[in-house]
Amino acid sequence: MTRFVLTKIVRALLSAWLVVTITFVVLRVTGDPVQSLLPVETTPPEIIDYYRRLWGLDQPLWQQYLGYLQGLANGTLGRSFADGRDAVGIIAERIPKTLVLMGWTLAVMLALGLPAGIAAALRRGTWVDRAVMATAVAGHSLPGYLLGILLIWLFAVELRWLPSSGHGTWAHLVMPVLTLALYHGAVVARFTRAAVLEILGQPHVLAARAQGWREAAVIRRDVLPNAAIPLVTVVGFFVGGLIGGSIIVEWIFAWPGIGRLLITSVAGRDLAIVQALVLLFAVTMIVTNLLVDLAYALLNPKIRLLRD
Amino acid sequence: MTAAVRAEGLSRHFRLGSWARRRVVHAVDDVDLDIHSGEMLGIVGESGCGKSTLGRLLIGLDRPTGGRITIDGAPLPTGVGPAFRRSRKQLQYVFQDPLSALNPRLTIGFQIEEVLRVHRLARQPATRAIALLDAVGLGPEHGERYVHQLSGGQRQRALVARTLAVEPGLVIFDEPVSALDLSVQAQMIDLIAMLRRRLGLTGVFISHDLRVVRYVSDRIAVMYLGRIVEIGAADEVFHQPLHPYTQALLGALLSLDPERRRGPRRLLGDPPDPFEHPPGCSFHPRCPQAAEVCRRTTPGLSRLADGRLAACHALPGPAA
Amino acid sequence: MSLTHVAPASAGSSGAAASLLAVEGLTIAPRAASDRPLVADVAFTLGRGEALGVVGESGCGKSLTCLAITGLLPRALLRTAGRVALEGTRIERLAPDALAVVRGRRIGMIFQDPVASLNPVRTIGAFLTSLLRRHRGLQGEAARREAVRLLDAVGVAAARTRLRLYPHELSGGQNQRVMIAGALAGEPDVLLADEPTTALDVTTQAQILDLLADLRATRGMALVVVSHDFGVIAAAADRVVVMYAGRVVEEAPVADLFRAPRHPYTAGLMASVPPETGRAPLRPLLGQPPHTGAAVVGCAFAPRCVRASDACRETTPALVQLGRRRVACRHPLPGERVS
Repeated sequence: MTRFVLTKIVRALLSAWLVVTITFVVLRVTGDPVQSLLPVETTPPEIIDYYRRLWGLDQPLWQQYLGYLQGLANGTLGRSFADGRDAVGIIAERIPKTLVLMGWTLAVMLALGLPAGIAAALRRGTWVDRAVMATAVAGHSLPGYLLGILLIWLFAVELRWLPSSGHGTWAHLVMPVLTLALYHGAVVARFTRAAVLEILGQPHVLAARAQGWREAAVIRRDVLPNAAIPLVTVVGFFVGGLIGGSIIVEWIFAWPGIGRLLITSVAGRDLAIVQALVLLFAVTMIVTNLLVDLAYALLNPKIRLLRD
Repeated sequence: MTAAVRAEGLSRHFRLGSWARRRVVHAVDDVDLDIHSGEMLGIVGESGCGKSTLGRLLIGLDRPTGGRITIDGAPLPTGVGPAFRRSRKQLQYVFQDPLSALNPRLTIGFQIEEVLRVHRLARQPATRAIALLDAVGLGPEHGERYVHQLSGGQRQRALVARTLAVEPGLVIFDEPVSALDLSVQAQMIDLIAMLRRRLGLTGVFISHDLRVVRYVSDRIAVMYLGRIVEIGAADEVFHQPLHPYTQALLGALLSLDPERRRGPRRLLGDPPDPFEHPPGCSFHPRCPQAAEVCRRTTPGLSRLADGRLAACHALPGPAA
Repeated sequence: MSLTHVAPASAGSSGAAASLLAVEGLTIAPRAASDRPLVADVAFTLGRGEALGVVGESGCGKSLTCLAITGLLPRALLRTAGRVALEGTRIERLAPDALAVVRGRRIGMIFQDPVASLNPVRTIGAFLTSLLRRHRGLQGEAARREAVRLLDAVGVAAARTRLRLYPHELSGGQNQRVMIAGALAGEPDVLLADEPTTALDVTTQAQILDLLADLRATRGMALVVVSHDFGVIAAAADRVVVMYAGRVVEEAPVADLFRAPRHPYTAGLMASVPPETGRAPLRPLLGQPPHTGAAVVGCAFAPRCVRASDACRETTPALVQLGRRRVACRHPLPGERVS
């Protein structure tokens, strides 16, 4: 088990380094940030050169890269090109807001998707199954921005129950969370149903019934723990989807999280911020994958016991 | 009699696991084997004994990690190239599962004709295909069907028809009847016997079912953990097994006579783990006759008085 | 569906003692097509301590019959007629909770693929101790001690250390022993074994059959063995039921049946087993069984039968008593000259 964990951690670190390098290279070769920040025609060349030197853009690429890695090691990710503030500081003040949004989304999507999927599988072929699946297809096929706008129109414009944008109160949270959670909850429901159905068809479930267990015990002990194994992987993947989704949702609902920060920084070619954000997203994904692998191993004795 | 196929010191070791804890499976380990022209050689053994791997090696579907195979005196071509393609035509493999070997999107007749055309074997492929179907007991109408429209037994027959299309020099039958129901299995066994009589087919019949293997084979090779432990004429091996493992296999054979139902003492223990090769004779942990020497040295196949080969320290020494 | 007369289930020249398990007129059909039964009018009885074999080719309904006894048919299927009585109690009428008590405590079951029949995320110990708690009320160390004793009884070596292992860490034969230990946990009167050795190697198969015979002898447990393999039936059963296309075609004491089958289907199946000496051509049955659930008029075997007459193609023959056996055939084979 220790070996397994160590291997996974080493691989995760390797992925993190690759991401750092790739983002660095990609962002440097896609255009000069100074030119997009300063009006080139009206700015004197010495000003441009000053900023180039200030941000280290005059150095050769490999020196910039080394400097960047050094900064990473010291916990600094450069300064915002726009207002000169520390990138880490800017992002750090946005993170809690996004975490609140994603935490609630995760909770709501699981609270909706898991029971719905389980119920649909256990009552397959009945109206319960059909209703859940129809809802899931609808939820899944509606693009996030469209659902968001529909919700705004319904709850903010027509009914005037909820604020259309901003943050601060519970009411502000409802629509962004719903927009994200309905979509992902639909996918969770479908995966859950498929996973539970698959396990229900396995011989050991029939055997458990033949051994005299009541149906509830069979579901609790033989079906759900086994169905959870593939689900953990899927839910892990959703974290990536949620990050992508949060960018759109934060924009629509003017939620001051890191998704919105990313859009403004990209528009303004604020390299340091974009780079720091991409790194943050990537590390989040890598850590999630690591956690998924560990959870998977914890749930599945076949992996756990693969000591060699 | 000439050896159509000769294997010498044939080994296939699989390396599994990551670099840190590599494990080696000796799927086939130092096997010497002759297959005579026109004979059917049966290979029996329990799951994991390496019988299918040996079958694949014999026709070049898998490369040995040691030893060599010659066919009519020439080394078995491997890899790519015209020699390999020609050998692929001569050497054929009939799998247990005909569904995986036949194309689900083409009719049976088309698949047979395609083989005939690729190898330029018939002036009129369509007529020849119908003759081949007839030879395996299928009508022309079956040629127009797709795999899923045939029953299990018919699929296996169709596969045999396509195999025979190339007039193969050697056919490996790998558990060809294990998945079939008893009555259909008997039809297939009869078919294979009939084709042997009519076409003089040289073949290898791999099965875990001793009764079936005895019936269809001229000689039987018994495998245990990658090695041949006994090989000889089918009836002699079946009725007077010499190696303790062969004796155990036959002891476990279920008699159809309920009055004879209490067989000899059962073999203890589980079939061996292919990862764990015990030192010495690999059968010694389960062998009722195991002596000290069996734990130390691996017995080689030695020729006994009746021409049979067996690998056991407990048997009287070589005849010569 | 034809409603031909079925001979009384408990009739028999040996005057079978009050039966432990009696199946009568059992008919199983898809929910969606209740007029196309997969199993029709199956009837047999099982005495205390007796071993009954059920033999037939795939799709003949032998496994469905086995599942229907404990009410475990797949959702798409339905028992449309018939009764299953355990010491006179109609178990097909029991409520789910009462039926759950019958399963495991009165009737144990084991299946074809032992590894797949055990929950992969539970240890052998958790599997056995939970069954002992449910069926015998044993807790903690007492349950663990009894689990070890059960594993010993089914021939699992080093039982105490095996409790911590998962099914995939044991061989197929060991897992089947564990399954049997689980079935014994409730000390049932009957063990239903559905193809118990089909997934196992030859030497392991012999060990498991020996174990089943020992358990019968030492515990007086009745046994129903379902198999496609005549060898398994000959080794494990006292009496055999032969099924074809969902119906019982012959029932006889095992020695009688193997010495002289009377239904042409039974005879054809036996002629399909390669002999142990000589290479006389096999005389297999021609053709193949009807598709499961196909509409069948008359005797389902008639299209493959050389003895079939016009009457055979029109009405289904009834299962009638012939000496010590029951045969569903208008033109049975002569059988033994000396009875």
